[in-house]
Amino acid sequence: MQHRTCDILILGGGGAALYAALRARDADRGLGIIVASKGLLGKSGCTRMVQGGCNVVMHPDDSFAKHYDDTLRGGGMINDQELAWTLVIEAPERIVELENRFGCYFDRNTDGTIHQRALAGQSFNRTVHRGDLTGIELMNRLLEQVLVRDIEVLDEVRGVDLLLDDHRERVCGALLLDLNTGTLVAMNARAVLLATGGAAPLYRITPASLEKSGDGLAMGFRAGAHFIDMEMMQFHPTGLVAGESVMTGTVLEEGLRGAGGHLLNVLGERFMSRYDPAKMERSTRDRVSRSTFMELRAGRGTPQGGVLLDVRHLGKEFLLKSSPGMYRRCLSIGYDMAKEPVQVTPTAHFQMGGMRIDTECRTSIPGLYAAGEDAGGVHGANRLGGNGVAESIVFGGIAGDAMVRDLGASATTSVAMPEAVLAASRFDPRDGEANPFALRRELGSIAWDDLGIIRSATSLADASRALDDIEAKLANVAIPADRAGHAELHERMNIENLIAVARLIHSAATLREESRGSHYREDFPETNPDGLYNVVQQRRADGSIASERKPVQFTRRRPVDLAGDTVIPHPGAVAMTTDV
Amino acid sequence: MLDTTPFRITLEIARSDERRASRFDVPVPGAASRVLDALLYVRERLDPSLGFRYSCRAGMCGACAVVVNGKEALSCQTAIGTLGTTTVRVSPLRALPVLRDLTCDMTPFFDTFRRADAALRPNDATRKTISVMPPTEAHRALIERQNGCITCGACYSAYESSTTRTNDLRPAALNRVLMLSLDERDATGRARLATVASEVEAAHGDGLVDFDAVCPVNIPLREGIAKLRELLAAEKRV
Repeated sequence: MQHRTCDILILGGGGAALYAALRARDADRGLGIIVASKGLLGKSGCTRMVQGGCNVVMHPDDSFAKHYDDTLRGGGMINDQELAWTLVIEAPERIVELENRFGCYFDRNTDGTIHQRALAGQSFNRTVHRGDLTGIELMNRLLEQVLVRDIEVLDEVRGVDLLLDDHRERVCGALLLDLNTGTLVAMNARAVLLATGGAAPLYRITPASLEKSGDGLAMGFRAGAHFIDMEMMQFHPTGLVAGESVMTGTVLEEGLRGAGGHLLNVLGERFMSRYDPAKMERSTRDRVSRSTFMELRAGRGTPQGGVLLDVRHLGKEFLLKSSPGMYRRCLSIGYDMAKEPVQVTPTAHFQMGGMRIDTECRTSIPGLYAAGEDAGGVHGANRLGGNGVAESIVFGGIAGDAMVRDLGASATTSVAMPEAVLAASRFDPRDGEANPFALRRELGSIAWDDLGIIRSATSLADASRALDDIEAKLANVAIPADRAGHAELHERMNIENLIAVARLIHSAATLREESRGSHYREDFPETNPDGLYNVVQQRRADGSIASERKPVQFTRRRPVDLAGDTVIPHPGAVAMTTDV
Repeated sequence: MLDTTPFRITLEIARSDERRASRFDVPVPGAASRVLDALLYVRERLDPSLGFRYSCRAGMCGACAVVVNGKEALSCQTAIGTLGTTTVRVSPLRALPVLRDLTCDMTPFFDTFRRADAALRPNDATRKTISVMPPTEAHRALIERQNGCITCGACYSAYESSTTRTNDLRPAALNRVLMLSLDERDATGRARLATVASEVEAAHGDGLVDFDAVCPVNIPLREGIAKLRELLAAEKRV
């Protein structure tokens, strides 16, 4: 085992991680900053895949209040109101910084002013974007800014566990594993940021980068951090169906629904008329996903397990202009969207829940910070399209600033060596015959069937037993003496972390006996007026999960202030990119 | 239409450890199945030691660039049915140190961006508003034409295949230098341009290399290098 020391350790390689690294570096050039990424920096994670764009209040006719109210309505009124407010008021500064300091160029109107469109659930056209490839623009510019700065990058190095001080009160580093060499590194750090992304790949069908396995969430859980809203997992309604290919589950952006695309079941019916006749396909992500899932379950899907997204009437010219990347991608799979409907399925997209943080990204453990999907509370029960990347850049930036500020007050604590040795003992070699990749597929199906879009007491009980079973089988996956480039070992670790997250989801979903936002209980299908609480969770000493309900603090808005639905702008006003 | 007619291929993989198997018989569930699907099949069912890299599987991250039947390509975007053969040879990118099987150390590639200082050096970093920049202006349209690189390294690899020079910047970094040279927000455009003059000449002179053809996002790299030459010539005249 190697031993190293730095001031700030950032785990993750997406938007939140890079933004934090840049802000921390620019705040104090004397600090030792290390970014460790499970994949290649700037290439792993999900920010890169953002198609829709970033919500930000810029237009004089828009307002913080409108963006805020949309976010709370979308979130079923259980958002952490201070975090959501922070998201809204900080976002404009980030977009300005991305353009003027980091070199992003977002789409313009013909007069040269910034172009904004509306994604579902928004009362104003406020999504800044670059065509339908916004994430590439963001990540390229952030990555190159990191490359030209003095920031140490550890590619393909994953976090294993957090290291705590002797009193187990403060995080003072992390045990890392270099995927290529198999070397373990006890990294001593004065502050650690978890920005490794959510656990959507727990589910059989997901658009997320498949290397993500909720590592930060599982590490935080094992260290004792507090969690919030873990029952809230967003399913995007339009994932691509591409048979057994890894392309299955990748997202077709919802601008297509916003612009008037139709969803049809195998009988050719626009089935949303059964579930939300007023808004039809422009309904919220959770409703459209659930409706599609119900159609599939009722046997009204295609043999490959999808429904049909029909955008033919929008015309090829529009499709090429508004969604060129998506049009190409579908074509390469065999679908010409201009000529035929595309098969789509709901796909596990975004984890709203995560570690509980304050408005400075501090978790409940001193020295430990979380941003992006590793943190929870911003989005409540459901996230609006365009608020995800806003969260990454807003809270990534805040975490970078806050860690530097807090370092001034923190004494250097060194890692207790027995702690690092104990953490490393999980790699003691052992024999085993189980194939972790087969176990992973099994886990994906369990989550999809029983912890997914529709839950019930029965499905949750089934899930609990099935998770026990998988965990028992996992013990029979070998741990090699030579860890270098060992894919099976990594899958074993991935599954271990995903099970930890699955149990948090399970426990929270069991406690919430109502339906709200993305959480739907078939046995409690109504939204309960008494449901305005958050499920808060923490690890008990014996490893089990303590879950309790905590009332939402209505510091800025009461439910009565936001009665009624979001007024959606006219279809003609949205989703059309005027300039590419 | 989604083609679901199954067939089989022989997958030949350049292994870094020659003792490992390099030929695999792999079932393919349909013509649109990706080379990445075949690699995953091998890793998960035949040989877990196979080293390869991927992340987004949607052609957006560029992590999975390899050489397929002699040509650089993203394994996640290469439909096996389009290859016109049932023997599929996959090898790592050229010109980069191999870490394991199909994975390369990408440091030399990213070092070209560092050496070229290929990042915005803002001339007004504290500006509080978004600039009015009409997309129809000629330089903006040109920047947009060259934009969208996914830093996969395909052009870097193809470039090496017909040249013996080392330590040069190569198309991806030069392309970013071009974009920055045209960008009204960049403070060091001209100075940066001057530092790459000899690299631009070299890349231009390398007429044999068809690195445009391997760019998975179709950036006109060669036209970009011609534009860089134009800018450099204009600088000289000033």
